[in-house]
Amino acid sequence: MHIKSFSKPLSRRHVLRGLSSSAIALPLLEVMGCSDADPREDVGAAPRSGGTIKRFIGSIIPNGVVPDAWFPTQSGGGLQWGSSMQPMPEHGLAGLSDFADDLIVLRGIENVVGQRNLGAGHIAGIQSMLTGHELVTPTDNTSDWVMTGPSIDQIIAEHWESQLGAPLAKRTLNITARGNMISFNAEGAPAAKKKNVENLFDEVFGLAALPAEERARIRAERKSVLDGVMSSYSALEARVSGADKARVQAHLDAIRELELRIDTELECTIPQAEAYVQPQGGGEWENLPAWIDMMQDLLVLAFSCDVTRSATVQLRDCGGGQSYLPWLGWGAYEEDGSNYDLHEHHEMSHRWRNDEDAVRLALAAQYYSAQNATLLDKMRATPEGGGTLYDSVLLLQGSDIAVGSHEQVDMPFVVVGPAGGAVRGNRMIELGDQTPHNRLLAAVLRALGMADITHVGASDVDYGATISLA
Amino acid sequence: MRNGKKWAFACVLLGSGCYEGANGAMGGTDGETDSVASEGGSAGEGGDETGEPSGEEGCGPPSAPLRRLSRRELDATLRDLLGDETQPATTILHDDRVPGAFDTHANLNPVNDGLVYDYMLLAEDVSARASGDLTALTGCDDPGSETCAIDFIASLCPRALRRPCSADERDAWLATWSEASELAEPADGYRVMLTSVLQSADFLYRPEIGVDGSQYPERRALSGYEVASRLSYLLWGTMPDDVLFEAAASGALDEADGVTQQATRMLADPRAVTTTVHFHQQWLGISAIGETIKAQQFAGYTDIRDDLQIQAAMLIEDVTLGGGSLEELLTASYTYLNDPLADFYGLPRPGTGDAFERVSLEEGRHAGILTHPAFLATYGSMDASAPVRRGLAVLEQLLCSSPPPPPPDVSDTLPEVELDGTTRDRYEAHTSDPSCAGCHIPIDGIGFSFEHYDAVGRWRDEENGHPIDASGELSGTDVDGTFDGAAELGARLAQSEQVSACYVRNLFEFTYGATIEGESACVVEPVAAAFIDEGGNFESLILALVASDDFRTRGEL
Repeated sequence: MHIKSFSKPLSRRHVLRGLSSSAIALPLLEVMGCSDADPREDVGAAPRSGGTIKRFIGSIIPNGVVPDAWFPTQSGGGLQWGSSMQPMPEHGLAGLSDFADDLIVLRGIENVVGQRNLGAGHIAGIQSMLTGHELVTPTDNTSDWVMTGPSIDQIIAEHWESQLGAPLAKRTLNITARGNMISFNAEGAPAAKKKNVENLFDEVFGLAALPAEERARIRAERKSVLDGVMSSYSALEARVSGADKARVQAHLDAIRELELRIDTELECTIPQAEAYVQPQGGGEWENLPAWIDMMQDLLVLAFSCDVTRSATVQLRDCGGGQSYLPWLGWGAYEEDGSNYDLHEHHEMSHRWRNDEDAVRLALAAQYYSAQNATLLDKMRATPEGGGTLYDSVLLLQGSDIAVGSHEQVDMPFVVVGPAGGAVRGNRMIELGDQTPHNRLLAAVLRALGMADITHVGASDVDYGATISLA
Repeated sequence: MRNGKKWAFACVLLGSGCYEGANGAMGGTDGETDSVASEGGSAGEGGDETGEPSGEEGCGPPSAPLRRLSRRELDATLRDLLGDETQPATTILHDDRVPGAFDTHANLNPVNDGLVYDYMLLAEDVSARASGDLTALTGCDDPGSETCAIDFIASLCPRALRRPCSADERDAWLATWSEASELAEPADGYRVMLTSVLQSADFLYRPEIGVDGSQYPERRALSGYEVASRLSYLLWGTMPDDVLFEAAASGALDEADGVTQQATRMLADPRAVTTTVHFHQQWLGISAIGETIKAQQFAGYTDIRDDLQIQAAMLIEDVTLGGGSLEELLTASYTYLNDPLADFYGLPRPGTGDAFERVSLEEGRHAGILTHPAFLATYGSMDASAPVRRGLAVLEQLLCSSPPPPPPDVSDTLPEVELDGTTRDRYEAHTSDPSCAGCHIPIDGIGFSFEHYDAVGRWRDEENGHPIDASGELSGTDVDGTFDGAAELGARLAQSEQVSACYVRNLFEFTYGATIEGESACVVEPVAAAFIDEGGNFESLILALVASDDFRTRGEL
């Protein structure tokens, strides 16, 4: 049957290797470093000078939390949790307890803009989490909805580039296993996602792994080609109108952005590609732990090499879908005859008033928070200057919804990480009800060195009293 | 005469306000909701429901935004342009589909620096391969000579850009070749030039600028070359062949007759199969079945899921390009089966090994594409039947009716789950709760009729010891009423003008790369009406679509 064209295509890495070996003579071994050592150790280096670096990670945990198993029992200093839920062994933030000194739990935050338009619920919750902007229906009906402004990871990246007076190799790294609509550029268009371990490695470190001469030759050729390519887009732009013009313009802008960053050199030891292989086989969730481990390593390396200073992480879809967590001991593979999607994350979220589901949902939130703890642990294990990478970071963790009823009031936001001394942790900040999360986004930007920021996202929410993380 | 027109409008409106406060996710506004079930316009009266100009004159042409080649189209184009059969776009570029939209839609994943980087890698990869054998690439004995380069460019440029090239364009290509050749070897000249061409705007996009001096009011006529690309990407999913280029050059594609003649030729070509199957798979939402995963009690599913895709594709090809109708697609009493599928589904083996054999379906159990496991498993959940997903799929894909998402304040307190009950019992809570019923009666009424099929589409007579109740009900459609089981659902939908109009609308969206809704829905009407009159024949539909003036024109720039 001639339709059967399902042969597995070459991997992208294979393509890149093919390019390297045929078109570019490549003495890779020369730059690979010691082959006896664990290829994932002893890499990275001190970043370029230029003031205290602060780094941002925005992380979304899907499908909300169970309030009783999340929020501390008292506001103010000294985080304490009750144990009202049985058989919940620990609260949802237990994984982050190692970082309690730099942990702020926020209470009373509402995602105001997320509730404004259709798409309220998961989609709006995800997309507005780091933007503070609302979704709107585009006037030309080109899609169901569009985001209307940038997310803070992008704003932070721009801040650093303007401080440096030079582009970073990557504006941001937006790492996602599935989904990821949390990072948006200035026009509200989704930022590029990094889903594949090998692709991320190659894109970030691939060129840097070549000898300097070869690297220079490829860069020169690419820039020359892109110059010519750009003129074809300018010519087309002049011939079309309306939304088409915007499409061509977006393409042109993206090429400019690429060209701008092509010259950026990394000044660090490049890790070995062999250690970073996209997990294959089986359902993708089976391999999620291995995937998370490698992506976190690469993100830490990217920070360490000063590839970027701003990142987002999304491990799973929010909302309905086949989101299972079998490595937690329940999920897709139970053979007890259970039916009805019992262990699907979004389903259990909807049923959170049911005790058993509540415990599972709480454990799921705990699991996702613990992944962020692991990421921070890796930063803490990476020396930088007199301390570690961790000293520089601020991680903002939020969710698309608050609880299973898909409300967006009392959202489970936490801030963790010292951000160079800008965060005073071990406390819960209890805010008045309906505090728009835009205020929190502004506080994060201030903690990261953008001292004058008061508004982030929609201008018409209540910006009342500012939140201080210090 | 039956009237296909009113359902073009019905498609847009139905379901947009099934609960109070819901704005239409797919267009439509408050207050229009009821007009669907009650009245539509009558034949020939024109599309005045929206208050817009009616009839063929005031309507259309369909918005045809600037389209970027999809991964599928790019791979086929590289195959035909350079003989590259490695499917590099599928390998290198991230999946570009927008959920719920065709892969021809102009709003593929947005262009950003990540995608542009991937285009660069793709161009470098293909060009390095193509310039590996310069004699094969150029057909010259001395590919390093400028004469050879000039000839090569003269031949490649109009095929790569799918239109005649200007002298300036050819000179620019030669300059790129020359500059890179001087720096290194002749191969580098061709490699760098191709790298540039394969990232260029007129290669990656399909500009439809049109020509000045149109005979049509308020429209621009497309150039013959632009029509040729429309035809080739619609019917073959790739660039035009030499015959089409010649037809464009001769002016034959400026007239409906010439377009029809080419389309007839192209439909008879094997290349038409791929695109036809792609359209139907994407329309039904079953093109991603290769990525679906089922729970462990369905061991062996991953081994047969590609076969499910092929099985559905064979039926689609058989019906659509074999002179069949939409009705047949929805009711066919046969399918194709091989031994692994027969084993998995507990059916008698055809005894042909991996090869597929046409077999009759058991009456009452299976009939038509909706009872094929490709559909049932795609919309089944991991371990259960998922009536809501299946019902929604039928509503959205076949009836063009999209209920809005649940309201933000929806009550999530469902009755206790009884593990030994039936899926139907559990989901009936939707329809017993008044706040859910408005949207869920139409959804679940369809979804329940699939209850004889489990998560992977296997037939079952009972669930947890309880007999299956697969009674269903269509509501808010032109074929409302109760029925029993999915075979009867298919038979009922096959008689629906709403389904026919929705199908045609989907083909328009696939063709024009745009969402057709609201005011622009009127362009579908004449073609949908003809389709219904013709008894739902696919090839006639394609010919009607391409023979229309809309296919050779665009709106003003």
